[in-house]
Amino acid sequence: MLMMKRQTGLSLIELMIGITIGLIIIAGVTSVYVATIGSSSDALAAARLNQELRAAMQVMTRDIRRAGFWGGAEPGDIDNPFTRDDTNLTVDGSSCILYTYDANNSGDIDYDNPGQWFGFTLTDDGAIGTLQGIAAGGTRTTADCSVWIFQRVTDPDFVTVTNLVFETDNYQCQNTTEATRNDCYNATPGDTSDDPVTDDYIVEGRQIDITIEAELANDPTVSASLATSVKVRNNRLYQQP
Amino acid sequence: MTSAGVRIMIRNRTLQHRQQGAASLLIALVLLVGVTLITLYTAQTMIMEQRIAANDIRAREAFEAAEAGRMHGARYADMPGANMASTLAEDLDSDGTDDYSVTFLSLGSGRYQIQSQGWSFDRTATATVFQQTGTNAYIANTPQQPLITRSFASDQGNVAITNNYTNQTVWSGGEFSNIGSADTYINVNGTDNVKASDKNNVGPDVIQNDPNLANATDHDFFNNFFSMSMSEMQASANFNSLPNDPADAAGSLIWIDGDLSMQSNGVYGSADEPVILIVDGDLSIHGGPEIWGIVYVTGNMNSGGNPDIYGSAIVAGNVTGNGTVDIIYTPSVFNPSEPLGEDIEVAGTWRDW
Repeated sequence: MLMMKRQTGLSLIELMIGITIGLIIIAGVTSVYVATIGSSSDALAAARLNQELRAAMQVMTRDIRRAGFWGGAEPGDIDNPFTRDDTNLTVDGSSCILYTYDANNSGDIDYDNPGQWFGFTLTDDGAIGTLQGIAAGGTRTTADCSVWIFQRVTDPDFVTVTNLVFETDNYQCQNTTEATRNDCYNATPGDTSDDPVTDDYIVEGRQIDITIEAELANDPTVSASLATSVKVRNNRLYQQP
Repeated sequence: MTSAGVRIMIRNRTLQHRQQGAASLLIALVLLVGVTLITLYTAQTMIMEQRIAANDIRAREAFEAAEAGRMHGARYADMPGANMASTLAEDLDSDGTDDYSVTFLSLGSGRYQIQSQGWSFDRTATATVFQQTGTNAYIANTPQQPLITRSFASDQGNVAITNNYTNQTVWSGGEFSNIGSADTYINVNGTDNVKASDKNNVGPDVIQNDPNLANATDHDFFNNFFSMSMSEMQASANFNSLPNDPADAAGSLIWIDGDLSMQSNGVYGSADEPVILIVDGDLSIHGGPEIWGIVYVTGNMNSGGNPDIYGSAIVAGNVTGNGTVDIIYTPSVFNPSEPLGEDIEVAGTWRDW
């Protein structure tokens, strides 16, 4: 009977060694777990941010490239209704672009048809917006972004677009009236001899350089920027006023 | 106690020890399962991301291939004698399948709509773009006379000038009677080839001593007839020397920089596919070529042969020599079904939908 009452549990030393080994194992596994979660969430966030930016950029480049299409174009006819002063592709400020094209191949601009007016902007709450309609009482023009209503195409709860820039610095322009006045943007500053004069015919090739900078709304340390250039395929022809 | 009883007790105690310490294992196992699930989810998302990026690249490939086809089509349309009923295709990556296919739709008077379809290299994505081309005609003002010269020289050769259409044969800044020997023929009351003038009897079909023509600068004289400056015309010429096979010249602009000595007896151009031959220098003709279209010479035209020109000869200098030049006004060469000119892309006609 005495023999049966002998303690059968662990000794103190056995217990401490066991606890120590257990803790080391759990700590190791936990650190692997935490590291995996951290890197996975970073990778997922970066991937989603990239996707969001790429999609927005693709939508913009594909559409801006069409600016100035005119269903009624004839050789030598320079009065394209989609490149007039109030319908021409215009960057208002630096983060809003407005343009028109003949989406329904009708041959003329229709000031009442919202389907021929297009644009993108950076909205106040940090999203990219696409032109949706005209504000009440506004006059349709590509010169002024404030008369238009924009619909968000990115989710401001997820991605904050911190900067959207449309640049027109790489426009190219040729004066076709006089071979000697090739560059009509004042090629040599201070020398007016090569500037276009009234009634000269000008061909303007438009290149828009787009830059988007964005960060995650809930983690501003994850940020990305994307830049691309789009050549508007339809050149603008006009007579120097 | 027997030794067997002690052995059993030891075994029992050992077994009890083995059943303890599973907590660490279970916790580690749960965490590792969690890590596995998260890794799988991330991998799936990243694969999706890669697929989207790959699709994006394929879409770009297809679009760029279509654009390459459009540009190919636009250059092709500008070539003289281009067969606009043909389909252009190109295998850009040499994998045995074409990466773009271009067709032309005629819109009349030399206008075409180019339709270019491009594919990505793996042929899963496709894109189509459209562009119209039109002709920027070289001829701004159709010459109304078979022979237009700034002046005449007394060592003129034999010239026979016929115009059965507009009844004007010569337009000159000089005096027609200075000419060596020339006869003009017009249509009178429905009868073709009626003699109208020679050097001693100048009829109303000859406009002479026009000071506007005599005093015109080279540039103005040139732009009386052509829509572009001389340097632009030179830049868009199809040939810079006479093609070896005269048949190649049909429908083309030939710009000779310097003097040209023409020995050929060939036929250059035709009534519906005329040529514009511009010699920026002196032209001397020794053979008997037949030229349909416009011959423009900035210097003198010297004929030791017997050329036939169907259309109009425009000479900024003199017509000299001892050969015989026949110039027959032919209106069709000024209005061929495919106007002579630079085929350019019409602004405002590019679309991809």
